[in-house]
Amino acid sequence: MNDTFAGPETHIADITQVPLDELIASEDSVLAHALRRIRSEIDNPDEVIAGFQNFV
Amino acid sequence: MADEWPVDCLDVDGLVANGWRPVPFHQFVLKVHSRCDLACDYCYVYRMADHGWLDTRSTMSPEVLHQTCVRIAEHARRHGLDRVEVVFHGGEPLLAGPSVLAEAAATLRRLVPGTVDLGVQTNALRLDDSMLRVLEANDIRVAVSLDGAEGTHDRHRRSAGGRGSHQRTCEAIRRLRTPPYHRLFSGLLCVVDVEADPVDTYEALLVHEPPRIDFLLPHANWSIPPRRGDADAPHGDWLIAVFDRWYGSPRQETEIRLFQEIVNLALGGRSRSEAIGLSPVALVVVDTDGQLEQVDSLRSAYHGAASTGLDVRTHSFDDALSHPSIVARQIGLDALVDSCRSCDVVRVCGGGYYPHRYREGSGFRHASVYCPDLVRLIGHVLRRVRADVVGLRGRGC
Repeated sequence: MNDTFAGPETHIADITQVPLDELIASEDSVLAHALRRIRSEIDNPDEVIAGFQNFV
Repeated sequence: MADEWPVDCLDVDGLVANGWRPVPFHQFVLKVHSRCDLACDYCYVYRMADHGWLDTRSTMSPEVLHQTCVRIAEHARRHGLDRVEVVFHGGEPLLAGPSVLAEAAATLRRLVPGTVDLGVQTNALRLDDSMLRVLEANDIRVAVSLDGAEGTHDRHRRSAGGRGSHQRTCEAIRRLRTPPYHRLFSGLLCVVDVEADPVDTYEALLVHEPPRIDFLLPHANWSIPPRRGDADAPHGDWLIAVFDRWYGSPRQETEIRLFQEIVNLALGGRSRSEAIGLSPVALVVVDTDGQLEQVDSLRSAYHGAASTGLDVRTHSFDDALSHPSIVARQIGLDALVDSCRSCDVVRVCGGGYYPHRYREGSGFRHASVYCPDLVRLIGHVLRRVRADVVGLRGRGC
C-alpha cells in the first residue's frame, strides 16, 4: 500500500533580498518574530537539535 | 515476525564507519511517577498498545533518581555540554511529591556542570500553593496540559470515575499565573480534537495568557490510524484554521511551537521540535524503574516500542546513543522512506512525528500516517509566508 500523499509544489521563502532591519525593529507580528529568529540563527549558527514535544 | 526498521535492520556500525557521529543528549525526561490521577482517553501511557506501566514501580526510587543525576552529570562532562534540560514527566509527575522534585533539582544542580534548566509537564491537579512554593524555590518551570474549552477538555481529560478536570486545571493555572509563581509558567499543551471548533479552542487557551502553546496530533499510526470521518485531512484543516487566526493577528499573542517551527523551516531555518523537520533528536527518557527509553510516546505503537534494554544503573547515556532507535532519529533524511525523500515538503515535515510512522511488521520507515494533514498544513503555511516575504520586497522594507 502506498502510504504517502502527493503534496503541492512548495518552495522555501527566499529572504535574501529582503532588507529586514526596519521590519524587525518595528513590528510585533508573527512574521517579524520569525524573521528575528532566523536572523539570530544566521548570526549564531550553533547546532540545532530537536526537543521533546510532550513538554512545552 | 518480520524484521522491523530500525531495531532489526539499521546498520549503526556502517553509519559510524562512514563518518556519522551521534549528537549527545541535551534533554533528559525523567519519569518520576508512572501513575496518573486522570484517565485521559488518548493517553499513550495507559490507553494504547504498551501496558508496561503495569510492571513498573509507581515512583522513581531515590537510588534510581540519584544514579540518573550522576549519569546526566557524567554525560554533560564527557561531551562538554554547558547547558542541559531536565523535564519531570509521568504519568503525573506531581504525584511524586514536592520533596522528590526538590531533591532531584538540588542533586542535579550540585552534580551537573553548567546550567540545568528544569521543567515539569503536569495536569495541574496537584498544583497547590505548597507545591508551587517548592517549584518556585527550585526554579522549575511548569507546563500544563489543557485541551481548550471545558466541553472539549472534559470529553477527554477525565478521572477514572468520569469526572472532568477542566475547572480544577483552570483554577491551578490561575494560581500559577499569580506572582511570584507567574515566571514559572512555561505554556500549555493541547491535543487536537477535530470535533471541537479550532478557533474557539485556541481562544480558550489564550484566555490564560500562556507564553507559548503547542498542539499535538492524537497518537496514531498505520496500524492504528486516526479517526478521520469523511474528510481526507481533517487535522490539517483544523490546524490551518488555528494558524490563520494566530498568524493573522497584528501582534503575536503567544508562541505556538508547531507553527513557529514550520515558519522557521519555511524561511530556511531549522526545527527545534521533534514533531517536525530533520534536526537530530537529542533526548532520552528514564523510566521510574531506571530503564532508558527512546521517546515515551512510542508506547502508542506497540508494547515495548520505547524500550532500549538499557538501565541507568548499569549503562551510561553514551550506551544509548548507539541504540538503533535513538540513531534513527539523528540521521535526518537517511531515516526516511524513498517516497518521503523525494517529496516537495520533506525538509519541512521531516517525515512527521516518528511514532506516527509506525506500521506493524515493517516498523518506522514510512511516511507519517498524518501525511495528508501535514502536507496540507505545510503547503498553506509556505504559501502565506512566501506571499508576505514577496510583499516585503515590494514594500522595499
